[in-house]
Amino acid sequence: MNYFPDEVVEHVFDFVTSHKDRNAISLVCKSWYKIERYSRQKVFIGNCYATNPERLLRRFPCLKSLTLKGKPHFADFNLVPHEWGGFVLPWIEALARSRVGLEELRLKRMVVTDESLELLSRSFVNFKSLVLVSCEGFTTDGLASIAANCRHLRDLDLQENEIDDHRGQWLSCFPDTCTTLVTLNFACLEGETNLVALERLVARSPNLKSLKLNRAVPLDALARLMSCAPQMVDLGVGSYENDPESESYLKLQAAIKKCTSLRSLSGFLEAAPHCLSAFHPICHNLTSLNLSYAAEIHGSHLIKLIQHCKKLQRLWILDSIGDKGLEVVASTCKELQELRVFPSDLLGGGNTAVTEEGLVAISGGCPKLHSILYFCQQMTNAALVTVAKNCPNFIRFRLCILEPNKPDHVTSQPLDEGFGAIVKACKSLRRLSLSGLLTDQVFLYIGMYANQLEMLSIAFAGDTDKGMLYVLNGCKKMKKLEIRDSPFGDTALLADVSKYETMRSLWMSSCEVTLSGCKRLAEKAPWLNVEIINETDNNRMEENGHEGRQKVDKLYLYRTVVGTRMDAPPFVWIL
Amino acid sequence: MEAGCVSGSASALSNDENLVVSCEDSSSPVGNEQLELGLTLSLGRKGYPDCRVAYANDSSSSSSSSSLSRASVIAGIKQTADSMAATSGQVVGWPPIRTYRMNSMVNQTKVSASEDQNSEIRQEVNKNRTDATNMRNSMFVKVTMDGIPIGRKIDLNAHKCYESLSNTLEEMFLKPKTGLRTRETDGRMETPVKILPDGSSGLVLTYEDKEGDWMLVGDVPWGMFIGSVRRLRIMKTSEATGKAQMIL
Repeated sequence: MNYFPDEVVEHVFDFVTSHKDRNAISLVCKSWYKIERYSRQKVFIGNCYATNPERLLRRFPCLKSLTLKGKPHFADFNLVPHEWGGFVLPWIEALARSRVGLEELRLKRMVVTDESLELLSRSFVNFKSLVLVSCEGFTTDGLASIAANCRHLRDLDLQENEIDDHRGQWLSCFPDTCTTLVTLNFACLEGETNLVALERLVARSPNLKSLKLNRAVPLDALARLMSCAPQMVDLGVGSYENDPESESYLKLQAAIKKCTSLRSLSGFLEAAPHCLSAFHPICHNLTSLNLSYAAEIHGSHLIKLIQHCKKLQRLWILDSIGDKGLEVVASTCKELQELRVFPSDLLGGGNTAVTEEGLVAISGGCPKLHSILYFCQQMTNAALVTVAKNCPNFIRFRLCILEPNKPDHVTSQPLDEGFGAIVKACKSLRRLSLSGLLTDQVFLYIGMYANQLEMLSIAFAGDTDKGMLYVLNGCKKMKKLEIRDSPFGDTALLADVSKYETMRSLWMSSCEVTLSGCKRLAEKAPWLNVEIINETDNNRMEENGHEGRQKVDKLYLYRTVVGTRMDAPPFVWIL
Repeated sequence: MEAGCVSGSASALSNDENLVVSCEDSSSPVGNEQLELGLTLSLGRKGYPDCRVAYANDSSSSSSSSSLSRASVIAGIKQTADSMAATSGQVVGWPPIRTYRMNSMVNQTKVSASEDQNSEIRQEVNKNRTDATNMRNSMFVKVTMDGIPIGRKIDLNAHKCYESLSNTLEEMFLKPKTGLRTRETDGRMETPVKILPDGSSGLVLTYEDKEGDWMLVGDVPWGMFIGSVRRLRIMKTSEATGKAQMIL
């Protein structure tokens, strides 16, 4: 390759798209590093505080697409205070100042403000794609700026964000000249929607492939929308209540039949189950089905729908489908790759919830299954062993037994052996979430067998520091470790400080680590940000005479090349 | 350029930065909807068996509905409250479900709860649900009371139910610093005296919602109330009745 001119090398690099690979390329030699950095268009930053906008722009001046992740994962479950950080504004300001040709911005768990959105919309002429996942801090006014100012907007994808809906007219802010939309997802908006503006927008967007409506879009509007967008590939239905005899329902049926490109269906935020049958004609084409918000649809209707979906690759469903329903899935959906079963009733059990039987059935019937998220009432080691045997190809295995600390419900043993079987059999396992009664033994297995494991979520598990040590010593590819309410302390934390340089982050809350342990860690590892989040009483830790031995409530540490961040709120101590 | 500071080695710098700008993790890419499982939650540390959650059948909770038992058991166990002060009596982050999805279940629960369960159970449900909404920002809203020229502000996110809100408002407005009332009479004030327009206090608590309408506090689940309240007003019953007639 040394004999090729740079342009040729660069052209070859164009075919290398994965971040991992591009990073590897850049390390080969100085010349490749230089070529690579000028040609890199997509940059992924898994922790926005690991670097800063200036360094990003210095190294990748030609970037077009930026992905940023902010708060730690447990922020999704309210374990991280709202004001902790993850602000996108400084990034947008820096990008705007540098005049980089930003076209795509993807954010996850970040704080986005209307001001940021406005600045974004005005600063990048070719801006095309905005994807916000689990973000917060903005309102529909911010969306209005995006709609109004981004002339070439292709994707506006809002997934599970907390958006203050001002019930404004953001949809009508799309100019009449805007015809480039490919993705429009506003399912998470709670307010009224201007249906006229929406219909006109859809009608003038011939490239629209993905449309996800919020609950304010009624069935008759849906019928009209589908009629003028038969090219739809991915549809999120809003409110789906109607009388099956009504004219709009008949229109809907007709419109659905014409949508022969439809491959993905979701939504049904409010749904009349008997109207689901309108979708039966296109079910045989569906590869993705998300009914996890359709709490009003009972198991039998779900099953009827799924029986038509023989090509399904991805299924998100509520546990109201029951074990029997999962057996139907197992016998129907032979192409299934990803399954998520969410709890439908957090109050308690109910006999429609799923158990280990459903999981076993799925594992037996779906040979291509590689990702699972399963909330259930109970589990057994035997079931997990069977699952491991049936499905050795798991990449992601996330099990949440709703009843806390629950052992094998047949043998009353911890679930160490079951999870052990999973990690032993699934050699490509990259992500694992544990639950149920677990001792140090399960961590021994994980350290021994989970060679590819990158993300591990632990709660109320383990007996001693040994548990955490097994993981830190054994899992060479660990990137994100998050632990809560487990008896791991300073010994485990400090055993191998250099390990944290190879990881993106470590979260420990309600464990046994002490303030002095964290301080020692911070001293040994200046390239880490060691954050103590202490919301309860800011002064308590200092006033207490036994300060060093005080247990730390929440610890979040991450490697960084830019040192302590300046935007931390008062309750976050960076040691 | 910073590379110059790092021993002149481009690869050392880029290794650092590569660690930072590293590949996407094994969870589904940002573009996919994601509901990430953390973990199951039990309510005590390992080695503290007395903190284990009782099974639904074992629960001697006064609530008779078995469907409530888990929630009340969860709500009842307080040993982790110290470390989770913000949600006294409840365990934060359980179950590990994204806030957005939890909020969406609030709406669903309201529908089903009204069908078969009494409002006490609904309160319990909504207490657990609105954990999600309440863990966010302080949410200060104005509170005015007829006859008092100076208004107050109250942080709605410091409360998880109407009773708690009512208690705080009573303290704010009906316990004057002059000590005209004895502590006993204060304590004996019925709660929620201002929520229910039973006429005994002559006062009724109302709120202005997002749409600008004045509504009686207490009709909707707490989470829904939080989502739509703009400000509060303690009205005299006579005036409230008049307004109610207008609304109806």
